[in-house]
Amino acid sequence: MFRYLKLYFHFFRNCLIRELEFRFNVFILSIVHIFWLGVMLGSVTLIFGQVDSIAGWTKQEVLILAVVGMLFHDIMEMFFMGNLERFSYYIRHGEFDFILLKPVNPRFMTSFRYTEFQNIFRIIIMVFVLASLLRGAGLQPSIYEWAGFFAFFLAGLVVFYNIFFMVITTNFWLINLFNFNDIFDRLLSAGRYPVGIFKGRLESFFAYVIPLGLIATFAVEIFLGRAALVSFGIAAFMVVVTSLASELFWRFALKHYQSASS
Amino acid sequence: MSNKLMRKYLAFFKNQFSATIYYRGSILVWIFSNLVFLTVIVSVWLSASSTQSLGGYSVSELIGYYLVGFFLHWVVNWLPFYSTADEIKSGEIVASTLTKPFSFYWRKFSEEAGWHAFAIILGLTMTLILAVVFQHQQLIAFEFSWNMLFWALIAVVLAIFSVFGFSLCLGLLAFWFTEVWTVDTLFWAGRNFLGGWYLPISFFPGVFQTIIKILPFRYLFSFPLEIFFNKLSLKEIILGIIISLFWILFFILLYRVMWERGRKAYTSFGQ
Repeated sequence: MFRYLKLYFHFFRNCLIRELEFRFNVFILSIVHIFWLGVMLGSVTLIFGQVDSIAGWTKQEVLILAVVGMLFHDIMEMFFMGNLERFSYYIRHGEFDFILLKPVNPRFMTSFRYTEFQNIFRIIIMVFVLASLLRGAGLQPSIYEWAGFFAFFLAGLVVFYNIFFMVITTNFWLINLFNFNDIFDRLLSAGRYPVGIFKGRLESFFAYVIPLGLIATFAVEIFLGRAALVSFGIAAFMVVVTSLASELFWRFALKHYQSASS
Repeated sequence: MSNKLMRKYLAFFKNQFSATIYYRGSILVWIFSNLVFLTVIVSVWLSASSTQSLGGYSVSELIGYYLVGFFLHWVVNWLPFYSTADEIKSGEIVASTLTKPFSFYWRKFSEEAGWHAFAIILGLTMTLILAVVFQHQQLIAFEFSWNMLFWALIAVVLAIFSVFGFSLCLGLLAFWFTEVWTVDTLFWAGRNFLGGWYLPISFFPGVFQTIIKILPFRYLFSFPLEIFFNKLSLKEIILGIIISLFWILFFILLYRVMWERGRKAYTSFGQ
């Protein structure tokens, strides 16, 4: 375990040094990302120019939800998405062979080799925006509420990392599906709305197959004093099930890997 | 255009069409990802509580707007940005175009046509299935008229040329800056927010609407939809077509300037 932490630290430092080589690029990307934050908050404001509430959530509550959803999205991008995106390339170009040859767990290498820093400024800004929105809504979460919030947030990260990892694992067979990231992006964006918007079969699908509530809704409900016990159950259940399923599927897929003759 | 030249562009069309069929999986991924967006936005509007009309649309009209928009997304998004920027960055453009006797503009246009010929069929099939499902659940409503369809089709053709020209010019920036992905992100922010993809532009306050009607983004997506849903008078349609034509011409001229100057400024490696 310590060996992997040390290795991760070196990967992290290596990525940071690489990003600092292209400071101007990071600066421009940061501006673009902050602009996107404005677009997202602007969209919510425009929607509430026409409606009073969405699935019972007021404008202030949806804004908090949207910021938490975007934070979740950015943290996924920072730590996982860049790695998962590269996986299709490794398979197509036979570079996965080199990962298999290294004396490190291949899943670790596939999932954690790269850290993307382009969202870092937006993450910092969003923390301040979130604090301001909470204050504006008259919410002062206790330490227990913060603990619950982070528990849901972390559970969401684990669950969505596992789900996305299972999806990219199919590259062992499908090879040319290089744009899975589009689906990931849409799903994470969907998490910025309350899960209560889904009705009927969609409600079950987005509760138990792709638990969108774990992106932001369940965490924000803690602040609003609306957290249901069943949400904790769903979170714990999904963490265990997706962790097991993704590891078993990964092991099964590894046995079917055919190198692209690097 | 001579027959000989036409045959060359036809070859680009066929090549791209074959490649698209071969890599059809990625199109299915795009369809699915747009389907997720459609599902979410429809659910948002169905769960919204409002005492007024939504930017001049009823809820069922709004759902129709996103459904037709789902299809329109496949029809109008002729985006040579990615391949253009890649070719310039990698130096591939030297062998693929700069030393060959044909127009880069029409080569890219033929390739995009090849991609869209297949993508539109898939997109249309998916949209029709969704339309039947939505109709069955009485979720959509719009008044159909041949007159509006005629004007909407003209606006669609203009949108194709606008998107194509805009995207191509952005791709050509790679002649000077090599890495231009950031610009693409800005394009999408403009197109999605100001072009009516997230919300119809009637949701914006009055002053913003005036600005949006002058900028090119509206003519990349929203304009045909506004016509199709009977939200514009004939005078507004004609004015929109004139502005749209202006932007098409602007992007063609900009392309010519950028192409001429970019080729002279360009230094490639490894070719």
